[in-house]
Amino acid sequence: MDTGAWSVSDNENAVVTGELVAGGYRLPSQLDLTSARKLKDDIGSRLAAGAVVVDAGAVDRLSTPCVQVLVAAALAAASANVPFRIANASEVFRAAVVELGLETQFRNWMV
Amino acid sequence: MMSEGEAYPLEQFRKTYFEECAELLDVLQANLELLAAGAGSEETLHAIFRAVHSIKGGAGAFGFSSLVAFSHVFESLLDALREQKVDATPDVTQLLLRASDALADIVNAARSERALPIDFASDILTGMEEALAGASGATAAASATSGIEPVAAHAAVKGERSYRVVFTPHTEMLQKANEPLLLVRQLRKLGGLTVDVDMSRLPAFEVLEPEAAYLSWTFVLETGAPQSAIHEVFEFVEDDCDLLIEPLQQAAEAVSAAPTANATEAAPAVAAAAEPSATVAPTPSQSIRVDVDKVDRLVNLVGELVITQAMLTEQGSLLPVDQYPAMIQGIEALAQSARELQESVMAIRAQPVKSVFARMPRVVRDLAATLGKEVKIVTSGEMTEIDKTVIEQLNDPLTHMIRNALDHGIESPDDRVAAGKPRQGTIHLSAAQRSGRIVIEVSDDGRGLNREKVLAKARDRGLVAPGVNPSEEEIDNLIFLPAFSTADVVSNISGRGVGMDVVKRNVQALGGRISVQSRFGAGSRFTMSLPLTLAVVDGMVVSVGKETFIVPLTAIIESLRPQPADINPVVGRGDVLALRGEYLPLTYLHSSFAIESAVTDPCQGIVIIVQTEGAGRIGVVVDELLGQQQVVVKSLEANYDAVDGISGATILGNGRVALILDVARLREIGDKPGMRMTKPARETTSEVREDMNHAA
Repeated sequence: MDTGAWSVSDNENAVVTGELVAGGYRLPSQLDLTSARKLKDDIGSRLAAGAVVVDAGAVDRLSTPCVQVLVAAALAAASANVPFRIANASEVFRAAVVELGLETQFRNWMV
Repeated sequence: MMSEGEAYPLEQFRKTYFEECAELLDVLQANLELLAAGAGSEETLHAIFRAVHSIKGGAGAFGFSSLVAFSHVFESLLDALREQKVDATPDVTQLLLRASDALADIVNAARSERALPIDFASDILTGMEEALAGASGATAAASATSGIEPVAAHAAVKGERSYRVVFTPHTEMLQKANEPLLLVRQLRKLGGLTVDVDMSRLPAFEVLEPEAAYLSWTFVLETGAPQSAIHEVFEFVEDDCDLLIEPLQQAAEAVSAAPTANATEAAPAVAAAAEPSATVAPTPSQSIRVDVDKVDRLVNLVGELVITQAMLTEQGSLLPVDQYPAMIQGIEALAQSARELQESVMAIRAQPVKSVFARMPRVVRDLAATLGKEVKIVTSGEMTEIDKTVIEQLNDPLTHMIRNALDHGIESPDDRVAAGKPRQGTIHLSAAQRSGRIVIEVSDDGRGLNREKVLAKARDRGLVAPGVNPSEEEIDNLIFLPAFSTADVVSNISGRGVGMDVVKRNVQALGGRISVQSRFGAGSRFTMSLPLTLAVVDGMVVSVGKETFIVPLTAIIESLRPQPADINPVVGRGDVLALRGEYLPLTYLHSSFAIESAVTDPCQGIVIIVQTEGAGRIGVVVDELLGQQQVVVKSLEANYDAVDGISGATILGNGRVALILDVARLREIGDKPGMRMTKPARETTSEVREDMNHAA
C-alpha cells in the first residue's frame, strides 16, 4: 500500500482528499493510554453515524489500549454492517499492529 | 531470582520424568489399542501425539539422545497422521504399536542407564520413515533420515532453544502504565519471535473499558539466551499477569517440576490458550504428585491411630454410661471418624488396575509373534481400583497367566481353522470388585485343558495315587502343583514346569486365591481373587490358651463345636472331622504353636473350617471365638522375624499383640512338626510386642 498517496485533513471532521472518503477521522499522533477513552468516544459516535474511516497517517505512538479500542470498534462495525476502514496507516502504526500479532485482523480493515 | 525449579535436585527431576514416562507410556498404549481397535477419535490421536511429545521433551532435557531421535520420528509420523497426510491403515497402526513397545524399551534402557544395540528398533524406524516418505509434504517435517536433526542439531549449531511464553495480562495491568508492546520488542531482541494473539477476552465495544487489558498472547521464541533472560523481560509485570515460560522440548518437565513460580501461577492461562499439541499441562489442581513414601507414612500413622482408637473404645466400654455420657459419645464419634479417615487414606493409595492391564497387550503381541499365533486381547474393568501394594505385585502373576494362555491355550491359526474357530484367538482380561475383593479373570478361547493328559501326567509323577479318581475340578487344579507341566516341548515361553505353581504362590502371598475352569476344546478361565488392600484385614479374633490369634475372615467358611462322634483319628494323619459326609483334617493351634493350658478336645473348643489353597478345607481347633474385628496389619518381618504359619501381627484394643494366621500354611505346619515355630507362641508374641513397641 502506498501510504504517500494520502493527504490528511487538519480538521478531524473534514473531508480528506485523495481516496479517503468523507468523514475520515484523523487519529492523533500520540495514541497512548490516556488517549484511549477519547478514542473510544470519538469512534463510538462515528459507529453510531453509520461509517468509520480513520486516518492513521499521523500516528507515531500507538498503545495497546488504543489498539483494543480499534479492534473492538472494527468487530462492532462488522456485526452492525457498518463500514470500517483504517487508511493511511503510518509505519509506526503498522509495526505496532504486527508486533502485537494483529496483522491478519487489521489487514481486513486497512486500505 | 532463584526459581523453585532451579533449587530442585536434578535427580528428583529425573525420577519424576521417568514416573511420568511410565504414565505416558500407559496412556500411549491404551490409546493405540483404541486406534487399533478402530475405536479411536481425533482426540485419541492427539492424546497419542501428546504422550510421545512429552516423553521426547523430557528426554531432550536429560540428554537421552537415542530417545529423542526415536520419539522424534515417531512424533513426526503421528503428526502426519493428525494432518491426514498418512492414513491410519492396519499396517500403520501395527507399526505404531511396535514403535510404542520400542519406545518403552528405550525409556527403560535410559532409566537403568543401559546401552541398547546400535541397530535397536532400526526396522521400526525405517518403517516409520518409509510411511512418512510416502506422505506428501511430510518429508520436510519429519527430517526422517536423521530424526533428531530439526531439534537437536539445530540447537547444537546455533545454540538456540525454543520457548513458549504464554502472557495473559491482568485486567488492571495497562492502568499501571505497563505496555505489552514494549515487552514484545524486548522479546524480539532475544531472538526470532512468532506472536499469536488471543482476543477471546475482548468484550463488545459498548462495554469495553478503554484502560483495561483484554488481549493476551502466546509467543514462541527461538533464542540462545537463557530462560532467565525471558523472565527478566517480564520482571516488572509478573505480579500483574499470568505468565508461563517453558522450553518447547521440555513441556512435560516444565509442567511437572514447576520450574518457576510464575509457571505454576499461570496454569489457568495455559489451559485457556494452549493449542492441542501444547496441552501437556494437566488440568490445574485436579491432581498432585505425591511421593508414595509419604502416603505410606500416612497409612501407617492412620493405622496407629486406629489401634489407639480401638484401645480407647475398649477402655470406654468399661465406663458407666450415666456418669460419662459425653466421654462415651466422644469415643464413638472418634471411632467413626477414624474408620472414615482410614478408608479415605486407603483410597489415596488405590489405583486402577489399568496400569497393569495396559502392559498386557504388548505381552500378547510379542508372544503371538514369537509363537506364530494370531491373538487379540480384550480388557474390561480396567478402572477397578485396588491398593498400590497389591497392584505392584500383580504384574508377574498376570503376565504369566497371559503367557500360559497364549502358549498352552490358544492354538495355531491353522489348528483353529481346522477346529472351526476363527484364525485369531481371543484372550479376555477383566477385573471387578466382588464382596470386598477384586476378582481378575483371564480367559481364552483356546483348546482348554486336556484332562486325560493332565491326569496321566499327574499319575506318572505320582501326584495322584493309583485308584484315586479326582473330580474334574481337582484335575484342572493339578496344574497348580509344583513342577507340573503338560507341554510336550519345553519352550522359552512357559512349559518349564515353573509356571502355574509360581503364579499360585505369588497370588497366595498376596492373600489371594486362584482357580481354573476349563472346557476341552473351548478354552480356559483362570480366576484370581485378591484382597483390596494388604494393610487392613477383617479378622476373627480367637483365643488359644492365653494367646490371641487373628484368622482372616475371607478364609473362614464356618465354625462349629463338634460332637465326639464326629472326630475320628486316622493313623499317621491326625484327627479328621466328619462334616456332612466329608472328612476334614483337623489342625490344633495349641499343638502347632506349642501353647500350654489350651483346650485340647475339639468338642470342648471350637473348630473353624477354613479354605486353604494347598490342602482344601481344614478344621482349625481353637479355644473360643472372641469376635470379628478389622485389624491393621503390621509386618512381622519388619518388626521381628518371619514366623512360619504367621502372616503378620496386629495390636488389639487391649494393647496386646495378636498374630495373624497364615491359613494356607497351617496344615503343612501341622503335618511337619519340624517346621513348627521353634519358640512357643507366648514367647513369640511377647517378644514381638516388645519389638513392635520399640519400633513404634
